[in-house]
Amino acid sequence: MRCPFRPFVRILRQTAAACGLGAALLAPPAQAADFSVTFINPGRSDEPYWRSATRFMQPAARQLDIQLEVLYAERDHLKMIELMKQVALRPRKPDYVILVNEKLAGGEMLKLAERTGIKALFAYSTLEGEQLIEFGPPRQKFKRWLGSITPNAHDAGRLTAEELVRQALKNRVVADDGKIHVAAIAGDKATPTGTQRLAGALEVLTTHPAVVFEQTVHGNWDRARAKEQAHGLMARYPKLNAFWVASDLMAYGAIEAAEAAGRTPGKDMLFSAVNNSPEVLQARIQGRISALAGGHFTAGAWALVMLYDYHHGKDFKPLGLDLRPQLFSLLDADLAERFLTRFGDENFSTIDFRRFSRRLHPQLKQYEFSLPAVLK
Amino acid sequence: MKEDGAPIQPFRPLSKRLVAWVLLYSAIFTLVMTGAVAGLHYLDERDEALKQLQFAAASYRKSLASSLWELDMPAARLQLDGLANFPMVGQAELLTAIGQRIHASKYAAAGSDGGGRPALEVELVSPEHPDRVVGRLRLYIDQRALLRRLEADALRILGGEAVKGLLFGMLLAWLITQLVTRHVSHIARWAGTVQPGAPEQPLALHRNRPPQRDELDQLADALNRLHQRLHQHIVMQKSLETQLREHRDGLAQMVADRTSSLERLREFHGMIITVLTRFINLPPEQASIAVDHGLAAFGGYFDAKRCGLLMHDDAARGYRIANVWPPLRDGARVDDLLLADDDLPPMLFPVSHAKIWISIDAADPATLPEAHHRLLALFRCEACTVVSIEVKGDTVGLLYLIGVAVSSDSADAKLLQLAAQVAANMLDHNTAQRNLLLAQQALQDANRELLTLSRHDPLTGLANRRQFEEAKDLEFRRALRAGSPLSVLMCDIDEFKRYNDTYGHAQGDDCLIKVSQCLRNLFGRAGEVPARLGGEEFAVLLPNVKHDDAVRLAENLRQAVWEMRLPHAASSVSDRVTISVGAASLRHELHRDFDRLLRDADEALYRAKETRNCVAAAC
Repeated sequence: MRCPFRPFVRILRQTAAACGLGAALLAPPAQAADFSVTFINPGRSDEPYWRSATRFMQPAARQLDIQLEVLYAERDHLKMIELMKQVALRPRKPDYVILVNEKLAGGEMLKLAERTGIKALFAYSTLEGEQLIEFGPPRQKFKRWLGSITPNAHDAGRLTAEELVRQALKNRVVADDGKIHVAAIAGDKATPTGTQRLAGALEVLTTHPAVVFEQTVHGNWDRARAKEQAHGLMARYPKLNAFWVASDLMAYGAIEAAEAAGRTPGKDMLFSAVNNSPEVLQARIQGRISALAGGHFTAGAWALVMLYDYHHGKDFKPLGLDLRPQLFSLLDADLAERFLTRFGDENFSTIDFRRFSRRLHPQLKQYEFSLPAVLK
Repeated sequence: MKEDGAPIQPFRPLSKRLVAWVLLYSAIFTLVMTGAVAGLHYLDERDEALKQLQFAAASYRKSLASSLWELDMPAARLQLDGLANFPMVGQAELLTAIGQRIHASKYAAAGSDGGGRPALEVELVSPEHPDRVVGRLRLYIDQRALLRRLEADALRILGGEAVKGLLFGMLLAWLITQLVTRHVSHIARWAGTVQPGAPEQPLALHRNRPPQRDELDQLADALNRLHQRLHQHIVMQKSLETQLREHRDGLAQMVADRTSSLERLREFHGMIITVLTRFINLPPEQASIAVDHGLAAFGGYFDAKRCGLLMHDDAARGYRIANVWPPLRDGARVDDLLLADDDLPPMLFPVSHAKIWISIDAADPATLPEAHHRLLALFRCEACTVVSIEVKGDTVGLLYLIGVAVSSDSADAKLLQLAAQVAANMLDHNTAQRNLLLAQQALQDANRELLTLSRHDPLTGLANRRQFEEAKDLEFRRALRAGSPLSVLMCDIDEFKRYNDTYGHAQGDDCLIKVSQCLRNLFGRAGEVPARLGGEEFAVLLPNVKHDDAVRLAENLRQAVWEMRLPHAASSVSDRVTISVGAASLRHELHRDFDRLLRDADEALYRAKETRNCVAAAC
């Protein structure tokens, strides 16, 4: 991690060490857990987003009597498959696995789970397109594939793009032609999350009359690369006013490049980002980032809620096997302030996850999974 | 290569040397070829490399353009690395439109400055906006790889050529061994076994005779011929050696013969020299004796019983014996013997420019022609040799040897001829000497006569005035020198004119002769010179005669004339012839010259004349 919030990050890492994988594996449950879930996390254990995801799942597991195990694949989709293989070969297998179709590795993992009788639920991203044709819809060809819960990435792109344009117009950050010249720094071309976010953004940026959309580049979620690309784009398009950026880390890189080029983020160069790490929230509050969407990190916890319901007979099948709730929320400065105040230490234990369970609250017609809902 | 004089030259097969040379030249050729081919290859490889560069650029052009467009620099770097890893790409350089420069090199050590001029430069355009240049790709040829390829090429060619050369060399060596050196060695062995002497097995090559002859056949044939010739030569040599040996054995005898012959020759020459030497400064009267000696020497040399010279006397038409040795036994005078031409065989006739050489040996008389018998009879001997003697080409005589026959083709013939020549010379000399002697005598006589005539009065035989003059000067000087006395008498016949007139001049001459006789009789001592000075006037020079003696002698003279009683009828003095005498003697203090003395004598005579028939003495 190369970020301006180094001390803060160090604290987070220590906490992660205490409460992360090791704790999950070694600490015997206080009371006998109902069932066990293994989450194969595609990210790195110190990566803000995936760390937050884990942290958000842990209080949920505790509250729902789920024995949660989190395995980090360290951003290596092959390792993800390897981890799944290890889990599948265990004598005592978990009841469920939560899989992420990161880099389309989900199919392979699903095959392993199906073969060893572990029920699988996709979170964050699921099988789509050709994969879906191959594997079929959940609970058909692959009986143990229970379903999926994925954030609506398209929404995230769209929301941030709209906000970026709105902020630019509001602050009159336009070129001499009176238009907002925007470039997009997307994630990667493979991950659906990335492509969908870009698609949502492009939907806005390419159609908005006040916007001149210049070009899309793919930063591969990498901060340094985004910085380099931002630098290049600014050189290539001197009139550039704003960067739509698909992630917070890449946004930091772009900001660095802009600052290096003598631009002031939030004043003569606007940035958007997706995520809700404390750093990015702080940047949103400071105005360095003008448009921010977040909340999708919560998908893991919602998957636990769904499995809890499923395990206890309240199947989510009637709601659909491929759930795509509105997990993304636009975070304005106020919301960001609130989120930081409450979860600045990433301690989400004050959240009552049980109230999202349809088994426990049968009156719920739908799952009401959202960040604002959490903050209530 | 060692010098010829090197003691031991190590053996080294021809094939090895040949292979070494073949290898050397093929190595040089290989190197040159490799260099040339490598040069061509370099150009080809460069073109090829350029093509590969173009191919590489074409392969990456779109993806690179895309990466640049999308500002995916890691991808661009990767692609550039990929480009740099293309076989012939040494370095790849990417210059983006926004001023970035990415550089990738195959070699870590290579500088990032691009290393000179790029081999290829390609414009990269945006995949979305083809009019938009996003960067330029520059590719540099991988010089190291190029060189490595060239190296590999060169090594391959080199290796191939080297193997070819090696195999070729070995093949050549094998062929040479099979075709040449094997046989050459065989020939050498054969030559090593060849011994001078008995004929050897002829050289034969151990091989199937090829249809055509080659150098080896030529060599073998030549050696065989050489051997044969050598053999013949040796045989001839041997025979020659035998001859030589025999010759050597006979050489001593030959040398002895030759030495004796030389000795004989030397002896002959010595003899000739001795003979001829005798003629040097030989008094003419001894010439004949010398000739006799010469003949004795010849006779001795040729072992003749007698040796002689016959001179042809044309007038007498026959040969006279000029000299003979030993002298004829009968002691006859040789001059008287004449061998008349009529008695001689015609072959002895002297013919100009025709040599005569007759040698007769009566060992087998039957075979002799009649003429020879006649000759033998003439010489009264059993064998003889007659040789002509020529002087200036004319046969003037014969040299004959009795008791020996020297044929004209014998070894001594030349000597005999020489002897004949010497004899001719001797004869010639003898004749010349004799003639000379006669001439000398005649000359002497003539001289003496002349002297007498010039110094004496022809009528009276007394010294004339000339001799008197000479004598008086001589004696006067001598007298002056010695201080000896000298006297002179002046005489005059009294009334001689009347005598002449009376008796005639013939009687007068007779008178003068008689008076002269008287004078001669009186003054005959040495140094005394009676002289007729002219007419009837006489003078007598008397050396070493003092005045008194002179007067006395004058008186004696007057007396002697008186005593002759020569009638003189017309004389006024007497009836007989008388004389008047004036005497004068040298007085050293007075007479500076003889004329004074003579004048004194004349004056005395003048006084005597006054009386006549008397003596007057100067005072």
